[in-house]
This record gives sequence, structure tokens and C-alpha cells, in this order.
Amino acid sequence: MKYTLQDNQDNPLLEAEITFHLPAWRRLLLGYGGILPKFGDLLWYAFWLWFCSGWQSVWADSFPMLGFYPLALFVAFWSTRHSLVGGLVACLIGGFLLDAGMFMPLGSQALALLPVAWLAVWLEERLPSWKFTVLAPIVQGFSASLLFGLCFLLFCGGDSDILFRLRQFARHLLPAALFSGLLGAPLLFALWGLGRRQK
Amino acid sequence: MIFTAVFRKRLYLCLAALALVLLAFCLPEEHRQWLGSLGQFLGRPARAAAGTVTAGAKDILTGRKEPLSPAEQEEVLASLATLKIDLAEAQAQSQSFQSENKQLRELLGLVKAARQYSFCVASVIRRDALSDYHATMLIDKGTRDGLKIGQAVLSPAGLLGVIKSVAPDSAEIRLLGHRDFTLTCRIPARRLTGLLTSAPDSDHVERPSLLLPPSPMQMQATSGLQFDSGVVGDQVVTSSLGNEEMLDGIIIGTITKTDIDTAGAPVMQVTPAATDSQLDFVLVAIPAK
Repeated sequence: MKYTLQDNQDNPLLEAEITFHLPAWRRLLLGYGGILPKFGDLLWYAFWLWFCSGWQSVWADSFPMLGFYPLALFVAFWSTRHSLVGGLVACLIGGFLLDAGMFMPLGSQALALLPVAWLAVWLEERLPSWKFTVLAPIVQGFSASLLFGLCFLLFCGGDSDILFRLRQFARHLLPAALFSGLLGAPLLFALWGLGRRQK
Repeated sequence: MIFTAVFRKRLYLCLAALALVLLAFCLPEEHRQWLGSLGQFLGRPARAAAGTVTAGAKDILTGRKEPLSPAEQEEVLASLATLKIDLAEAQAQSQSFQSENKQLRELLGLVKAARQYSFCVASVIRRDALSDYHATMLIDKGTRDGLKIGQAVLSPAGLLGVIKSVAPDSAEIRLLGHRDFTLTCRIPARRLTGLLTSAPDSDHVERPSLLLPPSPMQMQATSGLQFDSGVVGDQVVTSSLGNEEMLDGIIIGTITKTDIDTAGAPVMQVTPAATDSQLDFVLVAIPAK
């Protein structure tokens, strides 16, 4: 489309040409890093964040003796496979949702989730050769669950004394971390497989 | 190496997130409550969906159907409440049974100890709590069980009264607290015999009869010389001299006060050994044929 501004003698004063480049539009909307994929990523991120926070808050209702922390796994996954910023935002929003769902002081579980994001990134850098092996999600799941459980006992232990917390660590947290590591492996694999982008 | 640009960037990000979390702790209470309510509202569908998934996983692992529907939960809760009420009633009934059992065991022990008389266990079926609680009572045994007027009614502690009137299936007992109660009695330690009567009612005009123990008995002298020897602490028992249906030697009480009346005769005040308050069962002493 070409637009021209002319005087009385039909001399062109101003000419403008608008060209619709379909491939460029396609790249902008649908291409790698485009608007729609980013929007889809955002929806996907929001859904899993929302679901994992709810999952973690109701897990103990059905399996009280078997610890499992899907939100910690999600934070570890997003911090390593996408961005630390996304992981930290997941810590904040997911932690608040978790606190609200479990009627705990607002921010306490977000505080327990922050080190998980940091540890996940640290482990990913220290173990680059594991990144795409089956060991990576197991180690990430185990370490994320263990660290989250420790921080939870530290920050959300209430009035319980240190001996009680240590007993909880031995009886509950270690089996929970092992279970999370085993169950986290297929979950993290699923998340990685469903994720659009790889780091 | 540790302070690379990437590390610093991550450190700043983590510190910023930490600051936000700490800020959440410092929020005013009303803002925290508002955020908590918002979080609960937003997270409720997630918890419902995740709860369904988790319960499904539990179904698969354990084979149990869970969770219950709201109607089933209501039903279970209602059943639980009913059971708790039933349990409380059963516990109260059990305590009542235990008390009755203890009382009956005591009575049974007394029955076994007696040889020359037979004892009939009767339950108290009526007492007028407002007017003559300590004066009369009705029991559920009568002439069909061998009861006769004048027989002694007692508890394991001692004499309660005597049968005043008897019907085929019931009998009225005149208790020690009755204003017209009289009975021949004796002090075995002194070999003394006397007449037991109730203390005058004028002593208790202002006091409610419902809450009081039986009024003290008075043992009046028929021979001044013999009664001079009765002292405080002596035990008073029944005597069969005045009534052949009366069992001899049932403990009535102990002497708590001695005095001389206006005519110069000794008068001793007797405090009953048995209390007639809150009785469920009594014994009737029936002389052996």
C-alpha cells in the first residue's frame, strides 16, 4: 500500500509506503521468542505454579507420613531450565499461596523456598554434565526437597525445640527427600519435556 | 571468581526477593489478612484440583474410595456426634451401675454374714423429697416377700428405720428422722435398755428437711440409776424386747451428748450410724421361722 500527498499540479509532496511482511509478523507472533509463545509460557508457568502450590498444601491430607514438595520441585525446575527470576517469583507467589492455603504466617514458606532456587542453580552449574541425564532430576528433586524441608523446619517450626526438629529430620525429612527425588524425576522430566524452551 | 557479574546479578536478585519476603512479614496485620484471604481465594481451585489428583493416586495405591462426598462427610459427622452422645450416656450409666454394684455387694456381704435372720434386698421407689425426706420412704417389697410391720430396715452402716405399713408389693418405712419414731434399744457395753425417740422438731424449724441428716435421737431413761452410767461414745443397738419382729443388735448409732431433763432423768443424744441420704437399696431383716 502506497500513500502520496500531492499539490494542485499533482506534484508529490509526501510519499509513504506500507508493506505487510507476513513472515516477519509470523516470527513476531509465533516465532521463537515471539509474543504468543511467551504468552503461552506465561500461562503454562502460572498454571503449574498455581497447581503445585495447591498440590503441596493438600498432599499431607492424603499422605501425611509421606512428604512431597511439588512446589519446591517446580521452583528448582524453573530456576534451572528457564530463569532464576522466574524461580524467585515462583518462590514469592507460590510461597504466599502455600501460606494462605496452610494458614501459616504470610512469607514463611516463601522464605523456605528461596534457598531452593539458589541451590538448584548452583547445582546445575556444578554438575553441567548431568544436565540432560536421568540423574539430574533425581539429584535436583532430592536436594530441593531436603533443603526445603530443612528450611521449613527452621523457619516454620513454631515453638518446637531443636531436638524435636532433629527427630523430624531423621524420621520424616530424609524419607521425604528420597521419595521426592524418586517422584520428582518423572515430574521434572515431564516438565522439561513439556517446556517449550531449553536453556 | 566468586564475584563474577553473573554471581552478583543472582545475588542481587535473591536479596531483592528476600527483601520482598521480609516486607511481607512487616506488613500491617489487616494487609496480611487481606493478602491471606486473597491467597486462599486464588488457591482454592488449585487445592480442589490437586486434592482430586492426590485422592485418585491414593485410590490407586490403597484401593480405598476417597474422599467422601460432602453428603457422606455430613453423614459420617452426624454419626460420630450421635456415637459420642451415646458413649457419654453409656459412661454415665456405667458409673451408675458401678455404684449400684458396689452398694449391692456391700448388702450381699451383710446378708452372708447374718445367720439367724434372712435379709431381703429392696429398692427405694419413692421418697418425698420436699416434706418428709428423712421421715418415710417406700420400698418395692411387701407381704409377698415376707415383710411385716415392725421389721428392721437397715443399710450396711446400721439401722435406717422400721416398717410402718406393708402392702403386697410395697412397704412404707418409718425412718429414724420421723417425729413419731420410737424404738426399744440398749447400750450393750453398759447392759442398759431404754427408749429411743426423735428429738423435738422445734430444734429444726428453720432448717430445710431436704438437706439435713436425720435429727439426733434421744434415749430417755426409765430408771435413773442405770442411765447414769451411759457416757459419750457408747454404741446404741436395737433390742427385740419391745418388738418380736425386730432384729436384735443392729447398730443404731453412738451417744454424742448426755444431759438431765427437767424431771431429773438422764437423756442421751444419739447420732445415727447410717445416713439415709441418697439410698437406692435397703435391707429388710426378716426373722427366721
